[in-house]
This record gives sequence, structure tokens and C-alpha cells, in this order.
Amino acid sequence: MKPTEKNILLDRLSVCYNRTNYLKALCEEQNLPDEAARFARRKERLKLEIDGLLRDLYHDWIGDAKAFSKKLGDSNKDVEKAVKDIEQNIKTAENIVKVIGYIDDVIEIAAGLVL
Amino acid sequence: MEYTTMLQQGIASLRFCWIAAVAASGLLVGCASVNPKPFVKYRNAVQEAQTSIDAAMSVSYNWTRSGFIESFSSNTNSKFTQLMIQPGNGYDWSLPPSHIYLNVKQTRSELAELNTAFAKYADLLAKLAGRELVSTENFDQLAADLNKNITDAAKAIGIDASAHGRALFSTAASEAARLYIKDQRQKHLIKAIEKNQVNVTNYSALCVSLLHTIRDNVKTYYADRTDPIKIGWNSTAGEKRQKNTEAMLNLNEQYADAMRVLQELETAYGALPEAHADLAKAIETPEFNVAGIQKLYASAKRLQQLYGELTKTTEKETKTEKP
Repeated sequence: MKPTEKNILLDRLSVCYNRTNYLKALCEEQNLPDEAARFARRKERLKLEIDGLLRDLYHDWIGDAKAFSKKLGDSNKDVEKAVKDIEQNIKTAENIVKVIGYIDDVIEIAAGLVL
Repeated sequence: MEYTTMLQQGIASLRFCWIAAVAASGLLVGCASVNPKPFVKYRNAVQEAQTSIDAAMSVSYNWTRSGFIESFSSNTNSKFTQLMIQPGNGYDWSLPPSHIYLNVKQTRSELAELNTAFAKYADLLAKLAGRELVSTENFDQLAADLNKNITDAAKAIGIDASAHGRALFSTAASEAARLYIKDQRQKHLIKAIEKNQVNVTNYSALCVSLLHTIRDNVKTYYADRTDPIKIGWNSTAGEKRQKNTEAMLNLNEQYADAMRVLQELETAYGALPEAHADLAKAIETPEFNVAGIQKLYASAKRLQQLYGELTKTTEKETKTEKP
């Protein structure tokens, strides 16, 4: 059964579980212990099915999420690199200005020597 | 003297070639501009959805745990040893019989990891689009430094360049560098969005499927949570029933609030892929109507309010938990 089908089944069962619970309470209120006990047994049976489905769904989801988190982490590394590239580009521009400054010093010295 | 003049002209021409090359390379890229607002909205909406899904999981965890305690305690076949952890090798351990609340706990911790990875992605996008990364201040400083360099060089070689001319030149060079970096940033953003579109779609589908499981988990355990209140209510009469009546009302409010949060979360997570695709369109066409992002943001705003209500009713339920 696919996870989506399990979810659909779980939804139907949880509605059924609540109705059974309501009917059990109603029988108790109307002093119908045999009927209430019958609903209680069905409620218990439904609970087993629901818990089994819940356990499967959580288990499947954890497996999918683990694999996907890793994929997302790898992808984030690429975006992080892009941010670093931009920061590096800004540093490069700043370094160019610094280098130009050094060249200017050389020019100043050279010009002083020639003049 | 002729040699000196030639040297001065040579140095001057070399000096300005440097800056002209930088300026030309930058001016060719055009005036690319990224509006960071949609990216910030996207990141904030993701954070809001993540906080709310954790709150909904917390309801699911508390109810399944309480359900376990009640059913285990009332079952005559229960043994105390079934509550004892069996430590394994290293950090391993097991707790037989494994109950749903432990699955919920494990899912919650896996969800936290998944959300951290996705939040980091949304945050990196916002950073890449942000004004801080390519700030005007950085380039104003570059222009000031360049201007000083030019003044010093011109003085050294005895060229009488006007202050206005020098300032224009250094501004052009720093502006060129800024435009070049902006263009690079735009290319990186579009590439990241296109590459991750499928990841966002998968993340959205994964979260929506979890929402359905949480919803049915809460729905089932609502019935179980009514049992102890019902027993308490039946065993009392008159005014003594007030506490149980109140406990039932609080439980109902919490159920209704959890359902509202879960439903809104489905809208928000469902809107993530379209809003993500809108980010790329907003870069390519700044006047593009980012309806997908608006829809996601509006849903996140509603979630913020619903989350507040759910937190309040959860606190109320905890206070009246034991009637």
C-alpha cells in the first residue's frame, strides 16, 4: 500500500474510531452495558489497526525525511559556495584598490627619482 | 627632461588603463538589481510554518503519550518491566513494547532536522539576495580609496587633474565592480532556485503527508483523551462536575485549534513550490506580480495567530489535565 493510500485509510479509520467511541458512551449513558461492551471490543480492534498504520506511516516518513535531509544539505553547500563567491568577489575588488595603491607608491617613488 | 615627460605620460596612461579596464568590464554587465523583499517574505513564511508544525506535533506527542500512560496503567496484563529501558551497545537502547508516542518523538526530531536544512536554504537565498551582501557602503569606501589613489598618483607625476574629474572616474570604477558583483549574484540566485525547485516540491509533499498523519493521530487520540474525563464526570454529580466539564471544553478547544493549525499548514506547505518559482520570476521581471509569495505570506500570517491560540489552549488543557 502506498503512503497516500495508508493516509486515506487512516483517516477513514480514525473517523470510525471516534464514532465507535461516541456510540459506546451513548450506550453507557442509556444503561445498555452489553451494547457498550460490544462497541468497546470493536474500538479496541480498530485501535490496533490504527496504531499499526500510524507506526508504519511514521516509520516510512522518517526514512524518506532522512534521505531528503541529506540531499537538501548537499544542495545547501552549493548555495553557500555562491554566497562565498560573491563575498570573495567583493574582497577581490577591494584588493584591486589596495594593489593600485601600492603601484601608486611605486609611481611616486619612481617619479621622485626621475625628477 | 624629455625622458622625464615621456615617463610621466607612460605612467599616467598605465595608471588609467587599470581603472578603465575595471570600469569597462563592469559597465558591460548592465544594471541588474535584485529586490530582497520576496526572499525575506519567503524565509519568514517558512519559519512560521515550521514553528506551527512543531506545535501541532507537540499536541500529537502529548496526547499519544498520555494515551499510553492511561491504557498501560488500566490494563491488568501490564507489567512494570515493560516500562524498563534495555540499554544496548554504545548509545543504543530499546523500550519494549514500542509505543506510538516514541514514533512521534522520533518523527519530531527528524522533522526538526529536515526543517533546519530547509530553513538554512531559505536563509541562504535571503542572504544571497540581501542588501548586506552587496552593500553600497563597501563600494563607497572603494570609490573613496580609488579617489585617494588617483589624487596621489596625479600629484606624483605632476598632472593637474580636476577634483571633479577624479571623483567621477573613481565612482565609475567602483560602480562597475558593484554592477559586476550584482550580476554574479543574480546568476547564482536563478541557478539555485531552478536547481532546487524539485527539492522544494518534494519538501512540500513530505510535510503535507506528515500533516495528514498528525491530523489522524490527533483525531484518534482525541477519543482516548475523552475517556478519563468521561469517567471523572460520571463518578461525580452537581457542581463537582464543573472541573470535568471544563476539562472537556479545553480538550475540544485544543482539538479545534490543532485542526485549524493543521489545515492552515497544509495551505502554507502547499504554497511553498509556487512561491519558490515566483522568486526566480521576480528576479527576471522585477514588475512581476508575486501572487504565490503573497499567498504563502498571508497563510503564514494566519498561522502566526492560530499558533498563538493553540499555545494558549494547550496551556489551559495542561492546567486542567487531571480532573
